[in-house]
Amino acid sequence: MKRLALNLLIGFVVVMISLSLMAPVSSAKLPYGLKEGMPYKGTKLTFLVHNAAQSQAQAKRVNQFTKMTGIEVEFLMVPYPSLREKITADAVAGTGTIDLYCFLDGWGPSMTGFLVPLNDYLKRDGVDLSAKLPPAYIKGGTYDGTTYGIPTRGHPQLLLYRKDLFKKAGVEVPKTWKELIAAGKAIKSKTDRDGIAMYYGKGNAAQNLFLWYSFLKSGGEDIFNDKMMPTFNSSAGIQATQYYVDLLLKYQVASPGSKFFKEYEASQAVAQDKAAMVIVWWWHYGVLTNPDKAQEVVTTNVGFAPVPAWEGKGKATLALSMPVGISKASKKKEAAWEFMKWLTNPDLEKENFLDKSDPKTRTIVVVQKKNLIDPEINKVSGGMHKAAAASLAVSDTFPMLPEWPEVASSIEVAISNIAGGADTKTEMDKAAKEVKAIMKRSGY
Amino acid sequence: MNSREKYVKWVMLAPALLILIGTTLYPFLYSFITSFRFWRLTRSAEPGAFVGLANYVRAFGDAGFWNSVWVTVLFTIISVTLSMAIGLAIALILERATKLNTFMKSLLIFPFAMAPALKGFSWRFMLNPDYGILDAMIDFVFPFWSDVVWLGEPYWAVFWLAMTEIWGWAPYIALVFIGALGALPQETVNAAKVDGANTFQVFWHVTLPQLMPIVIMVGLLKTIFSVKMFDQVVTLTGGGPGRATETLNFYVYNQGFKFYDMGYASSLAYILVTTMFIFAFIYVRFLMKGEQN
Amino acid sequence: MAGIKMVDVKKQYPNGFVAIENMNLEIPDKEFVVLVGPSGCAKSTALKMIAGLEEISSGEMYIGDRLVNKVPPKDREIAMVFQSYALYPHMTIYDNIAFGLKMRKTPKEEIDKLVKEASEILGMSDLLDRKPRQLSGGQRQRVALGRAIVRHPQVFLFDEPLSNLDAKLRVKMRTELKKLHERLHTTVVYVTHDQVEAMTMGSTIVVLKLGAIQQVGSPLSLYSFPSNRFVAGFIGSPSMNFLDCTIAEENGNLFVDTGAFRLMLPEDKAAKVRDHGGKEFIFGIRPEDIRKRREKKESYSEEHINAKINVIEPLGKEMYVNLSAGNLEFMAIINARFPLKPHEEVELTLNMDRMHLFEKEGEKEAVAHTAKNATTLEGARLMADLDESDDD
Repeated sequence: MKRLALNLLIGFVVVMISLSLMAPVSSAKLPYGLKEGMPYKGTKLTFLVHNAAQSQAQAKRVNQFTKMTGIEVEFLMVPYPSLREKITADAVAGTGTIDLYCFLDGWGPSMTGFLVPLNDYLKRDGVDLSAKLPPAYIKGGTYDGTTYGIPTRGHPQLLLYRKDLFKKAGVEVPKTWKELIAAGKAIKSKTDRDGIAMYYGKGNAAQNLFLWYSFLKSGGEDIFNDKMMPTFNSSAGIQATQYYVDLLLKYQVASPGSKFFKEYEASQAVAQDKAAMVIVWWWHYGVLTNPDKAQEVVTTNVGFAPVPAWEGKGKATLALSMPVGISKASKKKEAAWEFMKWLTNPDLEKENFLDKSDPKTRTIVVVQKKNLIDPEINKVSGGMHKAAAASLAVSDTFPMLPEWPEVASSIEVAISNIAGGADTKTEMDKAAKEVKAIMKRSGY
Repeated sequence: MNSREKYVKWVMLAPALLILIGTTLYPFLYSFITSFRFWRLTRSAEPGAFVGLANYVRAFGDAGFWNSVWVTVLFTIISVTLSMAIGLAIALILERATKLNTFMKSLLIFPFAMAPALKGFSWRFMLNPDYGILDAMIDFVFPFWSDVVWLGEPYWAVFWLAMTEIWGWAPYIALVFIGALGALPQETVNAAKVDGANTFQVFWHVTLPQLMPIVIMVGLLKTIFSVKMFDQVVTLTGGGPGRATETLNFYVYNQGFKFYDMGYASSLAYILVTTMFIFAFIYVRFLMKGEQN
Repeated sequence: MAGIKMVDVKKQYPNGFVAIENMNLEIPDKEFVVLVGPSGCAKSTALKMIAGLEEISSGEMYIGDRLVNKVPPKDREIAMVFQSYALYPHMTIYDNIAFGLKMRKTPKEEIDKLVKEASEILGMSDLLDRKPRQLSGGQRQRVALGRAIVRHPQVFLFDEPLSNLDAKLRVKMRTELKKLHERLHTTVVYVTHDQVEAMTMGSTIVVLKLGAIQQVGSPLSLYSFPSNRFVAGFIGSPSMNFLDCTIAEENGNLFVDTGAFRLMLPEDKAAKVRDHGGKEFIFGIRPEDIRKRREKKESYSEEHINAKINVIEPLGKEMYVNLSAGNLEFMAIINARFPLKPHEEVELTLNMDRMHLFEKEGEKEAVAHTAKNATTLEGARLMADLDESDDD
């Protein structure tokens, strides 16, 4: 008798608590196609992501998502250089500890074994990615026609330059490489600054291929042909490569340190008032306008422009994105998909971008088409996003293939050697030979 | 000890042993097996078929591998000899117990305590031709070197990579040597002085030979650490320029975690481990034994 | 060959501690001088200053006629034997002995000749190829000696060279070292904390205490005429008994009154303390000068004293007996043929000709720094008396 009474009491309490929790949300319809009725309530997700300002801003607002769905999300943030290692370790262990990964687009094809194809989810919920994102960003999450990730962070390249130095040197913002060299020479002779900070150094992320790719593509060549055999050592490829390193070697408009610089050091050369131009991912604009990271004369004078191109040839720049995908080993894939729907919504992105309460969040960017042309956002960024949208329209990604990291490493070494004075053709041929061997080993 | 005590002993040790086996032996054996398999993470998260010695055979025809062997040897020779020599020099200077020396000794631990990755970062920063303080100092003292982009020249890059290692290790080795010097009997030094030896002769004929067992031990350890060195390659040079600073360990890492070829990476790691083992064996067997007889 | 002269030599360490204050000492050429004292008396420091291994803070140090204050050890023409032998562990015995000659760029054939010669003297020609750790303590000691003699130095310095040997070997080596000295005929400065070693070996003994010289003299003069209570207590084993006393006068005679007993002073001693009646002194008597009363002997006190036996340590020929008289405790060496037992009462006579009186200056006297503070009333004992000491 006593026992029955106790059971009844417990049952009553449970029902009351449940009702009280359901009440506020069940009344309104949920946005972003989130499932009604909190079917995954109490689920706890783990999201492995690098510790960018963007991720921190997302984590700050994740309770909005928890309120709507009852799903809790832990942001497991690691430094970018160890992100790939962490993903790999978790995926190989296969325990499903982590439900979602954020990864670099170039890694995607080699990670398809760890990731859940998202096509069915997209279809089921009627999500049209092409309406939401620029093509290069969609491509960055896709391999072989299958979508594995959707980015919340992505970058086009922009030319960042010092307006005051250009004025002093009496030159216009360059639209072609030739103009860029001329402007660099004028700046060097009239302002005692280096014309442009390049980054030919070998790092761990093939950064010295970012600009090389622009030179190569707008020069009319590509890395591979249709049969996935290397073509970058064709005469057009060698000419483009030569032009690329000649900013330092022949025309001497680049900082001497360009020889070993990585992207961030090139950006710092401008930040420290040593060079007048740099072509980098657009988020560096946030760095160069940050009084904590750049000298005052730089923060007040830095401007942006589209990446120059060859005279009379097509424009081409590189875009890079960081898609988010679901781990194959995850035991909470449906809940994870709910989270992805929320994470990739344009409202969150806009809210994060416009919230300037924390100076550390300057490097937050937007990737959604809608936001790129949003007047409110462009007002804050001085029109940079519109410029970026134009750049993104002609952007492409690096070749999407599993062997890309290995291929990139070979070309990266060649570029570094050429910038150090080695013969261009010899190095490119050597790299092509290595790449051929890599592709052959993989069965192409 | 009765059987019950024996039993208790093993029960008490069991957790530690299990952890040891789990964390050391298991990965060791697992990677050994992996080195005979085809396992590319780009294809599958699961290990693939056994391929015999294919991975090992591939290594011997791999120019990148041989380059990394050469870089490792070069780096090891420079970093071991210089950190030992500088460490010994510091030890001899700071050996005498004065107040200043005690203070200096406590400073010595700082470079060693610094995270290796951070060493690479800070040296890269200091060598930046635009705003690096070290670069500026070298330009000031040696104007004929002002045009050298230190990390852009292959051999200089190896040198500076070794310097980051020496900078961290020489002070630590100095501390070890200071301890060893303090433990040496002062009387033999006095005897040599009375016997007519000058300061250098005392060091060369008396102090150094007695220090040899420690020198050899430290040399072995330092060699192992040098061969294993990884963080500074990533943060100082990224293996560049070209492949000039791609050490074997870095190359193994790239094969495994960057190119996702776990089978090949495992075989390279095993070549590294086996070489180290043979080296250590010969070293211990002949050099250390020789000291004892 | 050379003597050594120290003039106002002072050693002060950087932390302010004064190890040696104004030491003045002259060691004649070819003399075997022993520096002896308890630990902390700076005897080794003094030796190291002669060797040049310790700097001199002030004063002058001469070897021969040469002022050597600034001369490094290698140029002082000295050889030193260390307590731990200080052999070079990584060198063969041959190389150990030859090291000093090599450093002096002696020609190879010459080295070979000298090393062989030295090793023959020391009887270790067959050990030359070995390493020090393969040798016994005694052999190592010889190597250390060999290393010193091979160089034919002006002065030999020995820093407690025998203290690491076992008792038997030590006695043997004492003799050998003395023989060696006679043969080499060179100045020797020998440091030891062992007064027996000092007595047996030195032609002159320098007693040190807390960095100050207490007395310099031949072994027998130190034994018989200690200049202060410290020397009296340090030299001789078992050491001298010290008993508080006053001088009492009765009928023109002077007595030593310890409270437990009263003994008349011989006339020559009485003369020295006649003016000090009633003053407190310390009465010193060596255990070997106390006997069991059996028959009267001329120099022994007329009066006997009664004492109770506490402990007997038989040594064979004689026994050390710990006794009490009143609340006084003292030691006597008594011929073993007497059938004594603990707790027995015994009658003793004291050889008053060999007694000493020390001025009592409170406890200060015991830690006095220089000989001057401890005024001596030398025992009126003649060296000739020594023969008589214990043969009845």
